[in-house]
Amino acid sequence: MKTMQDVLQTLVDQDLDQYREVIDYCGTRVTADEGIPAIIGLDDLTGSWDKTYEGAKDDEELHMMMAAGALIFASLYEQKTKEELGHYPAIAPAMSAVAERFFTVDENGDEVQYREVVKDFLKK
Amino acid sequence: MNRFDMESFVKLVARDKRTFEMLRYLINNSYIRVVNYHNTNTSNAERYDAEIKYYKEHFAPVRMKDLDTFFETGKWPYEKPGLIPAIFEGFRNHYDVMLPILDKYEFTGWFYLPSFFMDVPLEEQLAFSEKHELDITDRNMYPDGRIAMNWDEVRDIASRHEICCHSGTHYEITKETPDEDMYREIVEAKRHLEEKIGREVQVFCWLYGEEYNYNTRAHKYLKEAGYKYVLSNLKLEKIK
Repeated sequence: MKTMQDVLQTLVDQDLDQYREVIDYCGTRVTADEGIPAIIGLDDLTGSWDKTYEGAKDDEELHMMMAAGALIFASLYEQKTKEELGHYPAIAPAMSAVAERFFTVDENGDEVQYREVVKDFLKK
Repeated sequence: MNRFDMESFVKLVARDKRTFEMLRYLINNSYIRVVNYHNTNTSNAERYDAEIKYYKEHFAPVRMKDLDTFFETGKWPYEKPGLIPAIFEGFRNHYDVMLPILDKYEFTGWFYLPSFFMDVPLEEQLAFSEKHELDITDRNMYPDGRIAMNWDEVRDIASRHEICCHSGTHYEITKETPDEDMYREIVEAKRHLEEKIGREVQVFCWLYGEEYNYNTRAHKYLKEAGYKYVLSNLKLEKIK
């Protein structure tokens, strides 16, 4: 299971060019016609603020990597202009990029990007 | 090779609390995947089929009761993570193209409808869609001009998928929106949808993804309407 130590180490080790490539790819998607993946938070405003949750077993390995990815993508989107970001704060497209980059894991535990799901339909 | 700039990131977190909130959701396992769809044209049907097939193999479909269970018990009820295909705007092509694919794989879709769109007369639907930013990408798909679902189609979807309210007229509610407009777009929109489908509608979805706490003036209308969940483009918040 990934720990916060792993997350911090990931931040130090990552080659940001890989993340920039995902951001460039996300910029080519056609929102009006294509399925656009994203991660959204689930929040109980009627409950106590310090409640903790247990997620799906199949996501045990991935959710900390998603967290690290969110930090990286948000910091990269923050470098874009307001015009490029439109209505949204940097974290909004970052959460879509996280879903694109860490959509799921395969049987070997390797991350699967969303574009793998639609690879037969991508424009060459 | 470029490295992560921790200092600039810390400044970002300090400026915008939503960044830290999203980090917290991910670490605390309180998140879910969504895939957002708008137009689902026939020309892309094979692609949608491949996507939903993949979801079926790797994820759990999500019903409203699953979210209720998650919040009540603090535990996601399935081994597979949940995924919500979120289908926006109430277009007829959702019924004709996406619904059969969802049904084929028995995967639950969440349909976000502007409640009054279905009432617009056929000959006015295109003009209505243009005025209200309901962007149609294939105008030739339906020669008869009907681009919105009709109520029979919505009721059919409601019998086995989730129906959510996406305002009444695809209306952007801001802090300056007059009370009467808020009432129409939040309260009347929900009641109209419920009257037409014959069951409770529990989710309200803002346009352009504002979160619950952004617009405190809207709270009394969300409460009066009786919504249980409010969706923004960053989070789904349980408010009742």
